[in-house]
Amino acid sequence: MNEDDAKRGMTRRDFIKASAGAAALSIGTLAPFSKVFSEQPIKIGFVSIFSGRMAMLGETGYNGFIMAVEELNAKGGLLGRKIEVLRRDSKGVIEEAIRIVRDFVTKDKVDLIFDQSSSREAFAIREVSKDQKKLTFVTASETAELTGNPKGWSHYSFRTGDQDVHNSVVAGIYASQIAKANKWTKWGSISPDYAYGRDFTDAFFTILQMQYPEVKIVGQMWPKLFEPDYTSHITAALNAKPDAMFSAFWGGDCASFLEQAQMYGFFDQIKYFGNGIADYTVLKALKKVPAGLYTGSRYLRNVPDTKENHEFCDKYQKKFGDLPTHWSQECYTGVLFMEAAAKKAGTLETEAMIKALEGLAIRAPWGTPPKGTVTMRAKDHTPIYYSEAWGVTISNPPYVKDIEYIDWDTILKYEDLVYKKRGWM
Amino acid sequence: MELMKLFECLGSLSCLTTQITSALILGMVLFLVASGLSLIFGVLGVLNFAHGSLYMLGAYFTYTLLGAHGNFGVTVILASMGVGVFGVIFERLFIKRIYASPLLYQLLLCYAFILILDDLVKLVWGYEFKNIGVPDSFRRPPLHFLGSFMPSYYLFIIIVGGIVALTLWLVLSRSKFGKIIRATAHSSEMVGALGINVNLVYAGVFGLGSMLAGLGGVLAGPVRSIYPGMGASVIIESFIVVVIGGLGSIGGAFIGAILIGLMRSFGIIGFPLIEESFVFILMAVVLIFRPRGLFGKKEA
Repeated sequence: MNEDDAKRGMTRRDFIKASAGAAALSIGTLAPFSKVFSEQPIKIGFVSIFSGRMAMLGETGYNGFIMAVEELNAKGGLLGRKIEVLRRDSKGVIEEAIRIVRDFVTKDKVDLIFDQSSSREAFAIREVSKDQKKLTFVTASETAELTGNPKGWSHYSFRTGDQDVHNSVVAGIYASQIAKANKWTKWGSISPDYAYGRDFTDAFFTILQMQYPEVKIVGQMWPKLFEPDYTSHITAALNAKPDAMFSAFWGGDCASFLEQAQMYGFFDQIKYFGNGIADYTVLKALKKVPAGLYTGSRYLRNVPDTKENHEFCDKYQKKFGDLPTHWSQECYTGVLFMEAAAKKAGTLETEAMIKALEGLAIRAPWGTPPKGTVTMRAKDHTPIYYSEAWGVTISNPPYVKDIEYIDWDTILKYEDLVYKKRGWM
Repeated sequence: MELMKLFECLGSLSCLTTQITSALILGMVLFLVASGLSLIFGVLGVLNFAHGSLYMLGAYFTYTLLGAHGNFGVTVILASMGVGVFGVIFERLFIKRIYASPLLYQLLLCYAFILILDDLVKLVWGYEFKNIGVPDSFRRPPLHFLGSFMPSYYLFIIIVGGIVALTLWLVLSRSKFGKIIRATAHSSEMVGALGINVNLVYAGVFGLGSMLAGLGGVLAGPVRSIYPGMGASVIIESFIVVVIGGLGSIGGAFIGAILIGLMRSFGIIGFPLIEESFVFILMAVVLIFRPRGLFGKKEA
């Protein structure tokens, strides 16, 4: 019936709008009002960073988001209602992000919020959304702290992207297999100095040492996020001579480090495990992708190597003339979750949506074959069963070979161990 | 533990030379940006907070020019001169209006231009970060000496930085132009009364300072990621260099930049957890014991 309404609604809407108020007053019934409301567009508030050095987070995330929204609107909208988007730039300023999200709820009266912010703002936004009881999709912040730590956990927030403990479990198990085979026991690390970099690295070594107890950590370095020059770190690492190094660098930092390290012949001397190399932002930017590095897949067209993922990638490239990023995929997945939950609940009402989302499994380009689904875990509102893989870099497309997946039973088992170590379970 | 590693490093020739060269590399780029900042402040009395944006422009000009014709030598000259020309226009159109205004107005104007230039760069070159990559002629194994490594491109940066430092010093202390600049810094009214076009001197100095920041961006561009807002990454450290070296002193900027390089490259070995804070500790110490900076002149 909703579809019928939508089809006829276009011609009728103006008339109803004009007469609704008068009708309500004269007839004294609220029925016309509810009719009008049900045909009003769904409002989504999208907050991210669109300016400065993190603009890529906002722009490519928004691309993935708006592509999914436009697909939905082309199909006649969600629950028969068109989707309207309010896009706001927090500039990465926490206070600004809080103000925007408050305005979303109180002034703009949005139905739900997409929070494509860095972890810094994400914690603050979580508090506002909790306070205002507004359903929020956390698409970018990957730190487990946000959803894993029972302290501060929010009933209203749902992550639709990676969770860093999953990433580090996969990285740790993958690295331990290779380290054992080659007897690489002296390890160092270099990761950006903020929640994500520290948590990821910490969990990585927890898993690595669990799997391969001979591993010794000989030196850890924490340059600040967006550090422009790593020369002193590179030379210090060359002096310390670990067998292998782990890094949670991503984006521009990752590209800078690779470029600067290559000049020193760094990778001929030290094996390198970098989680963030295999993302098109980095691969495209580098003039020459160094071969033989171990990398996690942030986003690649061939991880997972499925028809759905290829289609997503090609569609995105056709529309925006550029390859998608991991962020595009996380936002795209967020809209898919929203769509499936709304259809299941039959409404966008917050509590009904939350109930529908908990435990919801959806088909998504990001799902692990053969089932191809991603599941929203009920207990902590974090997705599981998405595609997580590591491989070895090669200089030319598709840039990564020997791709290995770790099965999710193992990931979840080790996730528990990390959570217990952190006192979250 | 970590502190032992520092002593081990200080006792090992290869570690010592590697870290000293890495300090020089860090220091040279910093010196180029900071010397421009110091020069502009010394002569014009303007704290150019938008100086980091000029560094960014240098890097983006390099990106475009190198992509267009591939000759790195020509790119270095054209891109840094381009930033210099931009600086002259910027000074004539905007900065000259606020010489007599309180510091707050300078801050506002410069901050506005940080935002405007970031957005402009985003419009012209896009929001995604870019890597220029080391020019092909420098793509070769690093040089070995005294048991340490030195990439050839970094040797090039150190040589260029050294030449610029020497030239600046000679020009400012020995040439007639330098004399005029120093006189203008001292008393612009007097210089004007002697029939020298002060406006021209101001524009020239601002252009020269901008060109130095641009050159920093040109040289660092190929090895660092470039993105809108990248100026923020150098501006704070440049200010620290100027504070340590003494406002308006080019020699001070040189020593300050090298000192910061040394703090970073040895701090990472001995105190990897708090390496970044050493730069600030150094600044605090200088401010406590010598508030005018190492080479700053006493206020009259």
